[in-house]
Amino acid sequence: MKEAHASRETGVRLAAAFLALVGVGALAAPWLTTHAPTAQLDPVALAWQPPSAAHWLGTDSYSRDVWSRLLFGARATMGIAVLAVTVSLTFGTLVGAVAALAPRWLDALLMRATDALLAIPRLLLLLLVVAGAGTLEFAPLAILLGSTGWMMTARVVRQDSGRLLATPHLEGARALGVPWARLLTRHLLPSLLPTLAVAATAAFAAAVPLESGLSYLGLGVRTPLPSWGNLLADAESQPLAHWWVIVFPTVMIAGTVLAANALANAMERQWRR
Amino acid sequence: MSLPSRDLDAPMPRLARLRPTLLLLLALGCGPSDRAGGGTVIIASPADTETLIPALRTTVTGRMVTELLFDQLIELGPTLNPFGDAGFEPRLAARWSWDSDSLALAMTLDDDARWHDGRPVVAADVVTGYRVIMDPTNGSPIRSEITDLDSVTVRDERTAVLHFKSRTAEPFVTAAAVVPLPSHLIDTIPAGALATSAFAQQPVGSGRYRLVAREPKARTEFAAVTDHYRGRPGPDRLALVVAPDPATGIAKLWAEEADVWDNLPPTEVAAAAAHPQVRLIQAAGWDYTFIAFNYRDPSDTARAHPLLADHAMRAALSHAVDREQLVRALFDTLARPLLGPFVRAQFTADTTLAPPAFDTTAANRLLDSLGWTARDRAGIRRRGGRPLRLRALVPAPSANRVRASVLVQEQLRRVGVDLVIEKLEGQAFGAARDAGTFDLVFHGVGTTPSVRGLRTTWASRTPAGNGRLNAGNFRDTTVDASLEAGLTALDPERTRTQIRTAYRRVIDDAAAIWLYEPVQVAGVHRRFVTPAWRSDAWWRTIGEWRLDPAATRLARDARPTAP
Amino acid sequence: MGASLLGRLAQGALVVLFVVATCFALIRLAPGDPFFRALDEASVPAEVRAAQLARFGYDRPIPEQFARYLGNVVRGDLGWSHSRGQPVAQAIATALPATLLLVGTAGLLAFVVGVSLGAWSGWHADRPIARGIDRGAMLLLSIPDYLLALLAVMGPALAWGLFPVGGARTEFGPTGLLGLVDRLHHLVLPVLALALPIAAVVTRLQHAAMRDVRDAAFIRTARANGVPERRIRWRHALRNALVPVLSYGGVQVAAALSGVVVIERIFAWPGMGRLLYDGVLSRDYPLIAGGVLVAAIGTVLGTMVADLAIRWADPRQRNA
Repeated sequence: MKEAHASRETGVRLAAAFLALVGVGALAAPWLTTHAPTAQLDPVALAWQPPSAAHWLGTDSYSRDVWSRLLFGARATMGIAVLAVTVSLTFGTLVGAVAALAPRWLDALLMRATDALLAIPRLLLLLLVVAGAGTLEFAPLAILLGSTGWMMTARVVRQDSGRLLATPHLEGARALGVPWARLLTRHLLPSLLPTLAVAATAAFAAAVPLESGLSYLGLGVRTPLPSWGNLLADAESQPLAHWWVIVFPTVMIAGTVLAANALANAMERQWRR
Repeated sequence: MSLPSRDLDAPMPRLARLRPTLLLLLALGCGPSDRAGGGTVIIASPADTETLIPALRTTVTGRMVTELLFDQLIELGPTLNPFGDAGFEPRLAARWSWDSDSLALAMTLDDDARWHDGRPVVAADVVTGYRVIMDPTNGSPIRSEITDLDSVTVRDERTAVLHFKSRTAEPFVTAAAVVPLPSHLIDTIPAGALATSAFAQQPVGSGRYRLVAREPKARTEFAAVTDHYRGRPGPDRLALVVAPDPATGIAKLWAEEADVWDNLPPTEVAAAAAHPQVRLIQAAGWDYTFIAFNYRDPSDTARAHPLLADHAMRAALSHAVDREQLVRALFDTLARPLLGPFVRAQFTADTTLAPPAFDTTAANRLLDSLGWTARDRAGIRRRGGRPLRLRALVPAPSANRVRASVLVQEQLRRVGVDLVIEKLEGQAFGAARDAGTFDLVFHGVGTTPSVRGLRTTWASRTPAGNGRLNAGNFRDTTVDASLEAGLTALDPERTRTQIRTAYRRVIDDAAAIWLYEPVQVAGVHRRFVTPAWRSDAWWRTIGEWRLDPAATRLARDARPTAP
Repeated sequence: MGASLLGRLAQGALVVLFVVATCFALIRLAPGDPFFRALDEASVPAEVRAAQLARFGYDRPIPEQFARYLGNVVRGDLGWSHSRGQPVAQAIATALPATLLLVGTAGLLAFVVGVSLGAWSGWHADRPIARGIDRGAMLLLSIPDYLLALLAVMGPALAWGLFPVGGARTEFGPTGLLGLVDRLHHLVLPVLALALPIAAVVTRLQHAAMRDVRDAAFIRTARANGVPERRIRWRHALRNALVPVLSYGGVQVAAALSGVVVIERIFAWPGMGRLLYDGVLSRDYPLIAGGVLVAAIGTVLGTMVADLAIRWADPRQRNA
């Protein structure tokens, strides 16, 4: 039992370390790379170069350095994911908590609306919006991702808030007539923090592959700016011959999602048991 | 060759006893195996046809499918000469003659020409075909291509007369565009209801293949018309299979699940070496891609563009683009730099014309002379505090243009121009292009041997009701005059001279950055022996495909039992 | 029970209405229209397009169009698909079974594999192999699913020639029993690509739930009462632990449709995902509305079935 616990601990530590490393790499990108991410060194001679001393992770079809694009791409992908999570978390918490505190009719209305929005396939919604708006800028794309993902958070928050409000402590506060705004900020939110932390990490783990899926369909971050999804999309043909363009972004995406999920699990075990 | 189903369910011993009988049946059923005909051709395509009726087709796949189902009166032959009738071969029309005033063309139909339901093709069918094209409620794109035709009348049961308004250089191209439709089935359909009619889903055609089954966006199956007036076509069956993801579609070709992919991208051409059962066929391309400048202000199309209306600016941008490098990076040897608004395969092509050469010194000099001398930290030029930023539209579905845009963006950045790429999916791209909300647009044109297509792309007054392919609002009366003169000249040489004058004007005005014309590379399964590849419409000779007797047939080549 | 079921159905109908209305409005706000087709070739002339739009009522205000559409749906008329040249009902009738086959098989496979694997590993959560299963599932989850699909096409299909490259059946292939085998052969890769990520999630959920239930009080009570071990595991523990999985399943129906779009595109599977995707790209209004309607009904039904299943599995929730 202890053995399992210890190995789980190392796993969590590894995950946290990995995410921290990615974050640092993204922030320190200009200092860790020798080529600009969009610089085409020689589209005829230097395209599709395998990893070498000159280009640690090789070059892509436009002779751009993959290592550089990976690091700068981390900025885009992480940035979008973080922003999207912030949006979805804020809105989701608001809806869920308010629904828990509100009178029954409002609660039912909010929750049914949430369920209804959950019924629309996320990809379809994104397709429809992007069909209208064309390629989106960085921030609108993140907000769009966030606004299609808050529903799960709202559900979870509503459930947990319902449970918390039933505890004697909060039940008493409510009975004493504490205004609901105060209830929300002073009492409910602090208790919800563990749930929110887990939800945030899980939402982050969901946003990263979604961004890459959008880029595969051609609807993601605007070229020539790199993002992990863009890197994968650029490499459509001959994936086996030009493996380095696919393998490295995939490893990063998979690693990030894995680490985020591992962290979310750890936090859940820690705080919800 | 199908076995009765109960044999499949029978237990082994019975099957073993039946084996000699089965072998005998097989031997008889497969017929004389020295006949090189037969076979089933599976055509893999990224897009489906949008219609089965010739008058309504807008895409290349649409042209292919409708031409398989419906024969034209006459067809352009392998010489690809659109002037006069020397280059045309008889189809539904066996003979033709001009009236004395040379404004009426009488076409006499082949006595054996029949519709797929057995009824003979009559002159009234030609009138019906014309009527369907001209009916505005059908929205036929051919309507604007045959503006030189005044009317079509019936002289007798087998002879239809095409009345022209005036003499032009390509009257037979017009005649070929009027595809006869069965009057006995179409005349009863009310106006505007053709697209939703039963005929539109199950058309009765006159071509060498008839429709067997159709699942929209999935597959369309054709069967050979064995008693066709032109003779029985080689392949017994055709199938158009839609694979929306090109990687999967081309993979079908490698895996022998498909027999033809007509436009292999350069990266896949390299992969063909690993698949010896596929033969590559190179042919001249008929598409060209260029970057059109918008002469009008995107925010107010009544005004001239603040930057691009100036010839010096357009010339500077043209000088900044290294077309050779672009072509080599994108296509290696499978495309050629574009010389102007034409492809080299065209009769009117002029290989002596040259667009502005790649010369960054000249580009920089011109931009400096226009006042863009200041630079910001990223190296982008500024004038009066504003950066030199241009917006380019790129269609997301076109992988080549998307890649070209990334390369051009970098090349322009090196001379201090910030190109913002707006990548839009098909409909949004078309809408933005028509609305003129761009500075540059990565435009593609599919040409044909006929020269009349030039009007749609470079004439000031695009023919009534046409889609706006003159995306940049190019206007030049000299070009208009040259185009008109070329289209109405009666001597092919004169036509050529006039059209070349038009080309020269367009190039000299730096109306566009001429990018590339790809070479067409098709992948065909080796077991088929194909005649000379028609680069403009390869499917027209599919009736002459034969199975190589020395090659092994595939399971699907087995001759189907009679329908 | 009857009254609450009626209530749920009514709520479900409202949800469907809401979903259809949202997608109805969104697609009409995008640039382009059903008759604007061309990328580079001569398109339908502008005034003809205007006439066609008026004929089908696409130039009316959106609420009016929606009301008219609902009226038609009630009468059984789903409209004409302009991009496919066939009635919308016919298009959906051919696409829906294909998707149901794919999603149904994948879901079943994922559920069976996930529940058994997860339950076993959750019950024996201390063994290293159980932890390995959990970690393996997590790893599988981390790879974007379209990438998995692409690798499936490139590897087993193309490189090794073991499976066909996309499509639902071999062109001009066998019919009858051999035809069935052929169809199953084509089903394998898309189902695996779709099922693996779902199986991974189900495994993890089941693992966690089973591990939690294992130490619960009522299990100890049952054991103390002398209930045989096997019965404890399968009858009591599993049934309880199924609740989170079923709850997840109900919610994930809509998410499954998202995944199906990409899978159907890669494997050229003629289903609802491709129908909707192509419909959006060609602005085929009636097709999109019809497809969304069917998808929404499916999602609502799926959620209801999941809720019913949860009630069966966990008696405590019966009055919820």
